Amino acid sequence: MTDVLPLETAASTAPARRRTRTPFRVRYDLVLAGAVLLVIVLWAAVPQLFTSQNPLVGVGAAAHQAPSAAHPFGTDMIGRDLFARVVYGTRSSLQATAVAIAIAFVASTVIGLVSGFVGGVLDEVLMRVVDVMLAVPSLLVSLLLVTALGFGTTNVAIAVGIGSVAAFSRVLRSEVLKVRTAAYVEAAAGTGARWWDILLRHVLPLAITPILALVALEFGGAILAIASLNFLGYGAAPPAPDWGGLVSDGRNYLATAWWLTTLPGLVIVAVVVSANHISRVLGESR
Amino acid sequence: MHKKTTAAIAAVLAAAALILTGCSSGSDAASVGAASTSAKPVSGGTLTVGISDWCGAFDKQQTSGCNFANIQITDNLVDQDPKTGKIVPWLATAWKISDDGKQYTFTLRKGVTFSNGEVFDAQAVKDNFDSIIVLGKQGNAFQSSAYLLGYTGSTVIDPTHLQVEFSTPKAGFLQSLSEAPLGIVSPSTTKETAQQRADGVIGSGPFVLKSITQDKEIVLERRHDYTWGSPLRGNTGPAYLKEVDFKVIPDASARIGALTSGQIDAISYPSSNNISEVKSSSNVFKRASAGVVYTLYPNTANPILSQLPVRQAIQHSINRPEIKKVLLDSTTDAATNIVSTSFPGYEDLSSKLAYSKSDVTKILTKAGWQKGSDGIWAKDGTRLSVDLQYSDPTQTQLYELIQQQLRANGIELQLKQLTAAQITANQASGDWGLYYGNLTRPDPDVFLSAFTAKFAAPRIKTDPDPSLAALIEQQSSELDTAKRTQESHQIQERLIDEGLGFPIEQATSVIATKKTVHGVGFTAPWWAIFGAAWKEQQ
Repeated sequence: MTDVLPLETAASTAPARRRTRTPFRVRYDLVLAGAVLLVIVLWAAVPQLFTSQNPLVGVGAAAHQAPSAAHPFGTDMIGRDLFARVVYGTRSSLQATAVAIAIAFVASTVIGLVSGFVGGVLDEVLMRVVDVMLAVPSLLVSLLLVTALGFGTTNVAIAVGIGSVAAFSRVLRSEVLKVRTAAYVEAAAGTGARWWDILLRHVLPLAITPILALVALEFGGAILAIASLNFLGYGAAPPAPDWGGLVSDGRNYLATAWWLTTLPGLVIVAVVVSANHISRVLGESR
Repeated sequence: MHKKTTAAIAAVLAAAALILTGCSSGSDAASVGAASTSAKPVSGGTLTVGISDWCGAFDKQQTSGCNFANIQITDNLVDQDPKTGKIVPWLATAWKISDDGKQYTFTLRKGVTFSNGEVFDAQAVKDNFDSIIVLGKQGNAFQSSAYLLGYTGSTVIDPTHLQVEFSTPKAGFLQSLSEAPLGIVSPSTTKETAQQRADGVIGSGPFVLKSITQDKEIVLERRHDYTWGSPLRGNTGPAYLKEVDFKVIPDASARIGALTSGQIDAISYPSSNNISEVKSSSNVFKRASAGVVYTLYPNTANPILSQLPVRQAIQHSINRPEIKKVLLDSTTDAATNIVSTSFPGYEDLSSKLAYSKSDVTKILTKAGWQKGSDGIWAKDGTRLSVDLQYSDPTQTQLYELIQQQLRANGIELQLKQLTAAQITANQASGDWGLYYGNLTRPDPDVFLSAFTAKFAAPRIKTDPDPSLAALIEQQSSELDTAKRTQESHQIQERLIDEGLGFPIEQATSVIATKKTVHGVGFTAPWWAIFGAAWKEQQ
C-alpha cells in the first residue's frame, strides 16, 4: 500500500493535471508490483527469514529434485536448495544494481551539468564521446569493460553503470540547456552570484527531475544487464549465488530439470516487469 | 489504462513460462520418430557433427588438440587396439627392433597414395620424421617432437624399407607411431612452412579436407580410392559417408538442442554429466580415455602446495564416490587411479584415494597445522587456502562439489574463473594453485608429458621429487615389457601417495547421434573416427 502513496502525493501537488477518476480506487497492478519489489528487498535484507536452508552447501542425496514442499524451487545438481540460492542471491544482484545506478547517476550528472552549462568546445567534446557510447549497445560496452576489469560482482556493477552513463548525461544536458536560459538563472547571474552557486542552487534542482524518473526506469534495465553479465559467467565467484548465474547453471539441464532455469528466470522477469511498471506509472502521473 | 498493463504483466510472465518450459519438452517429442535399425551399412549421405570449439591449426604434427577433423585425414604406421592396447600393423606391415632398442626397421605397405597422388614410401616417412624435428626446433611441434626424442636419423633401404635410429632405447616408440601427432603427411606437405601446414595437410586417410570456414565449419569429403584402412577400425575400404560436416556450436545446451530438434546428426561431448538429456532419443557412442584421468594438478612451487602433508590431506579430502553418485552420469566413472581403467597396466588404487576425515586430521596435525576459529586449518598465520583457476564454466558444479568436500575437511578452495589467456600468463609466472586437466596416451610415456618438468613446463618448473622424475625417464627406455609395467605401477602409486595429482573423474569421449546413425568408432586414446560410420537413408 505504501507504494500507492507517492503517486497520490505527486498528484496532489499538481492539481492542474489531476485526472477525472475517483481518488480512492485501488490500483491492483501497482499493489502487485509494489509487493513483488517489497518481497525482493526483504529477501536481500533478511534472507534467513525466508528459508532455513543453506544456499552454499548441498546434500548429495537430495541432488536434482523437482520442486516439492521441502524444496519449493527444487534442488540443483549438487543438492543445494534452489529457493535458498535465489533468496540469498538477491542481495548481490540488488547491490550490484544499486552500485550501477549510482555510478550512472553521479557520472552523468557531472557530465550533463558541465556540458550543458559550460557549453562551447567542452560541450562538443563531451557530447561526441557520448555519441560514440550511444552508438554502441550499452550491454556491449559493459561486456568490453568487464572483460578489461576482470570477473566479480563489483566489476559487473561498474561496467553496467558506465554503460548507462551516455543516455543519462544526454538527457540531463538537454534539461540544463533549457533551465540555463531561464530568467531567474540570468537574474542570479546578474546579481553577481558565483557560477558554481548558480549551477548547484538554481540549475541542478530543476534539471535533475527527469533524471530521477529515468533512474526508476533504468532500475529494471540494470537488473537485466547485470543478470546477463552474470549469466555469461562474469559475476560472483562460486559458490556464491546470483540470479543470472543460477539461470546459466541450469541451462545445460533444460530437458531434465526445467526448474533450474525457469524459476530463477521467472523471479528476474517478475522483478524487472514490476520495476518498469512502477516507473512508468510514476512517469505518467507527473 | 492500468487494467491493460496488468494484463500485459500477466502475458509477459505467461509467455516467459511457456518459452522456458517449451524448451524442456523438446527432447521427448524427438524420440518418438526413431527409425528401426538395419544392420547393413549404407553408402552416401552427409553427417553433420556439432563440436564444442573451433580448433586452429589443421596439422596434427603441430598441435595436440583439434582431433575431430585432423584425425580423419591422416593414417599411421601402426594402430593400437582400443580393447587390449596391443600394437598392430597398418601402413607398416612389419617391423624389427634391434636388441638395444635404438634401431627400428619397418616394412611399409605398397599401393598407398596420398590424396594429391603422391606415393607413400620409405622416403615419405623419412621426410615426415625429419620435418617434425625441424618443426620441433622452431617450437611448433611439442607433442610429436617429444615422441621422437633422441631421433638421430632415418635411412631409406629401399622404397618399402626404412630404418629409424635413436640415441637411446625407445620403449614407447611403437605406440607413439599410432598416435595422431605422428600421422603421416605427404612429402609435399613436409616441405611447406609451419604456417602453410596449419591451413591444412595432405594425408592418406579416408577423408580429405574439402572446405574450412574459420570459427564455423570444417567439411571433409571421402576418398573413393581408399583401400588401406586399419582392420581395427571396422572398414578397410572407402568411408560410407560422402561427407562429414563439423559445425562449431560452443554452447552445450545449444548443441543438445540442435541434435534433439534434428538440425544436426551428431554432437560431441553432451558434457560429462547430462547424458540423460539426449539418451532416450539418441545413439550414444563412447570411449573412456586411455591416459591420465581428469586430474587437479597442484602447483608444487606454490608455498602451500609445495608441502607434502598438505597435498596428502587434499588427496584424502576428495570424496570420489560422492562425486560419482551426485554428478556423473552413466558414461563417466570417478577416478580409481591417476590413470584410467583403459590404460595399459592400470591397477585399482582406489584404496589409496579413499576419503578419510580422520586421515586428513592426523596428517595435518602431525605437520603442525591447527584448526582456526573459521574451521580452516592454519599454520604460522597462513590459512590452508588454495585456488583453482579455470576458464570453461561447464564444470563449475564439479568444482563447487569438490570445494564443499574440502571445506568439510578444513581446506579452503577458491574458485577463480579467468580467461584462458590469464591462466596461461599465471602459469608462466607461477601464480596459481590447482589446474584441472587430463592427458590421453595409452602408454606409460604419458607420465613424461604430464608429470616431468622436462615436458610439462611451465606447469611444472622443477621436479618436486627428482627420484620420481628419474624413474619416469627410466621406464621410457626400459625394453623389458614386464619390468616396464612394474615401473609404471610404481609411478602410479607414488604420484598418488605424494599428491602430485588429485585424480577426479575418468575422461570419456562421447558422441551422441540420431538413432539413424551407426558405426561411429574411436581410436585407442579416445578420438572419434567416422570411416566406418554410416547413416540410414530416408
